[in-house]
Amino acid sequence: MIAELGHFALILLLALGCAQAVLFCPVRMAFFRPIKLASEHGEILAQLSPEKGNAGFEADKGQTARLLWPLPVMICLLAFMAQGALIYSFIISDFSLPLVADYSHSSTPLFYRISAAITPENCAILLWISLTALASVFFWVQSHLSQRIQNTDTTLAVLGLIMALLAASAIIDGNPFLRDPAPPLDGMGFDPLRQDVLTLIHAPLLYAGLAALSVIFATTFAALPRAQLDRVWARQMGPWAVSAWLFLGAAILTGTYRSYIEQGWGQWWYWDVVENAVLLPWILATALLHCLTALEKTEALKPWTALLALSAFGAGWFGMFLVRSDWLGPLPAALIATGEHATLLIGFCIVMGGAYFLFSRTAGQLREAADFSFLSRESGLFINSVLFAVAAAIILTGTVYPLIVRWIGDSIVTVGPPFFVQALLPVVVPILLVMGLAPSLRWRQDRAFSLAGRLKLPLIMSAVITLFVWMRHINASPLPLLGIGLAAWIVTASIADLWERLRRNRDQSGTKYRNIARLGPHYTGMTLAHIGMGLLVAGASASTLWQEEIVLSARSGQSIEIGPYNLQYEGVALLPGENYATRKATFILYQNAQPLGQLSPEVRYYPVRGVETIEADVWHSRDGDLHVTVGERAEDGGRIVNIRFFPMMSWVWAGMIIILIGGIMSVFMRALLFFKKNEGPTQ
Amino acid sequence: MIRPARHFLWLFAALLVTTQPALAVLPDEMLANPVLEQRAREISKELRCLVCQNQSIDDSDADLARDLRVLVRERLVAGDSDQQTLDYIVDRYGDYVLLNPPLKPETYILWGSPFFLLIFAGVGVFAFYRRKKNDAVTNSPQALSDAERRRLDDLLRPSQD
Repeated sequence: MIAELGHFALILLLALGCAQAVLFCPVRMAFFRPIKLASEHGEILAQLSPEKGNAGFEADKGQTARLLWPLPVMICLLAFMAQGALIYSFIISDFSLPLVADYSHSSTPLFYRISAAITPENCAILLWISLTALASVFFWVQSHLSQRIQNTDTTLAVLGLIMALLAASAIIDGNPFLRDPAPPLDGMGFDPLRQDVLTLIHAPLLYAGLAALSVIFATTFAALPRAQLDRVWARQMGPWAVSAWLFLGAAILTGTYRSYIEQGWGQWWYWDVVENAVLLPWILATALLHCLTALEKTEALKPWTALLALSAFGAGWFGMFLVRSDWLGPLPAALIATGEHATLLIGFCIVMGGAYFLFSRTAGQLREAADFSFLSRESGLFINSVLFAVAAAIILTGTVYPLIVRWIGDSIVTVGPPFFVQALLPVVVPILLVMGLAPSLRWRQDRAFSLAGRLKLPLIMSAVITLFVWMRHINASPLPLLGIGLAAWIVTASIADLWERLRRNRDQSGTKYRNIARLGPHYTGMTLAHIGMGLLVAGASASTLWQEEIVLSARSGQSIEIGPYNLQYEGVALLPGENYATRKATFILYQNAQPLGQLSPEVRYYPVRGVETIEADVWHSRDGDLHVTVGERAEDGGRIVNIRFFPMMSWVWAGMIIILIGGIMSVFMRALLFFKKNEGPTQ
Repeated sequence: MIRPARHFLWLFAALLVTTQPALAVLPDEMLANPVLEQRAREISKELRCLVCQNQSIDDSDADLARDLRVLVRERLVAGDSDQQTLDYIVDRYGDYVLLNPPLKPETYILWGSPFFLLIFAGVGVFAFYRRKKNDAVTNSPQALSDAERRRLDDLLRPSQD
């Protein structure tokens, strides 16, 4: 009964989404009014002339949104009702619903039943719709509280269309609420690889990111016809762009850490479809964020920012389509023939086709208000965002290439991590170089000579650090060395710029002390994110450069030395888990004969799916990560143990977290700035 | 509904009989000669586990990956060079096993894409600055004409009264 209620809510949502798309659309008035007038005057063409507003659009002052505000709120409620009904069906294990039968089991613990209702790709579309609906309500609130938001109606119309298309995809492609007339006695079980808190956090973060991107998309779409991509628009987009970037970044962090723990070999990035589907919109959101800064400051780079705003959402949608459809999986031809997930693809084509068409028609009207020279902050932001877009395009090419080759030729190719590393190298190196440089550049125009003076110290310091590392590891491969050099460059240049600004600020304000709060969280957030990125690059380089690994068959009481540590293997215990049995090994960690703690990696067996999973245990410390996994009993009677020491790996995690903290600071600042009444210049 | 606790008896039984290898590289596969073993690891990183997504056989715990790892080591022990070992496996499994796609007609576009995209972006950026410069020339403020200058002087001159 509850499932039917959810089904009803979903169908009603589709109808109301369509209604919102039509009712809020200002084109409606432009369509109807000329016809009415034409009947009076007999001059149809004259009424469609551009004096009514460009391309037949009328000024959108948000009248419809003031009148019809219950519509988006209603859609949001319906979306959460449908989502709630699905979660409820999972909780009561209603196996007559095919999704529940596929992803749950009577022995699945309650927590993971909820997780099963939202994390698998086939279930997640309801979460995607719900969060998009929530974002559109937030957008309505934002426009209600601030009088400065333009095009509220058109934006909500576009969001309505997006939600209607997603709901159509949920209903047509694989309706979660259609009951199986002959339900199975029990389900297939939850995917053991997803049975983890991190996976449950990952899904809402990812879809919240996509929802924020859809608001950005809709706002841009609405602003394009009358070319209103001005400073107000940039400031209104600010909080959405940072939060989209933040949510996607957090989704990447949780996904990465999960695969680091779950895979027995401590690798954390595979360049597979699921990862790339999150990485692509994140990269474009990063580029967008940088362009918005330039636009907000000097109203430069309008068409390029608009293109990025549209494409970021497009990349997110296309990525979700690739992941859901499994077209890159083993049997794409069969899936294409049956047209599975075709609605999601058609929806993508409608939305993005419309957006790019509109962009191509109106981009010429977007005038650059500001002029800037080649050596200026705007240039730094522009060129870096172009490089980001190139990186995204390369990743997209590499991801879909196997599919294209299979389509047009008979042969199959693999595009693995080595391709991505080699192909991205010529793009990532300049990105990191500009990243250190750009914050020190002046707006509008800068002089090469004075810039060199400002960057002299960081340049020398990073060269010295690289040289030092190279002397210590003369045989090291060039790639990690390059990474360490670039990381040193970013960190030292960021700190030098911060110091310089603090000094200037102190001199200007006439106070005695350097005060970091005066620079504003906007700048501080950026600096933090850049330093975090530097730490990440350094950690990733160092951990590949100095990685140590021991694989051995251990006996109880055996002591193993690795890196600065000494591990004592105690033994393995067979223990029951919630819905699995586990072989849990115990290691005691010593450093300089002092016990530091205990590590207990596991091998879990999930009987429902008959799958074994590896749960590594990791000791994080300033020196690096100690990554321990256990396996089977070896032929000689010992236990197979795999221990890896990744020096400076903690820098990778710390870097990612610092990047996110920078983002959080910036999002609060942008939200504050937006609601602040006076329109003073922003720092 | 079956309560989870009931499962444990047969769950334990199932656990005792499973013999799937869980870790990627196992000690019993490893070669005694550390130089050969290191070469084997490097080669393994280049080869794709055929049943996984973008994992090398060095990283995979699938049975098929294990077979390939053992095969790589057999070839190395038999005295093959790294390239010969790779060729041996590619002959049997096709280019599909190579994580690094080889340059051949099917992959020209793939390997060309970074260069093409970078050149495309470079041309775009160049055209952007070029146009900006032209705009700046055409839109730059014109010098004042003599009439304008006289009028301006009149306006700026302090009034007599």
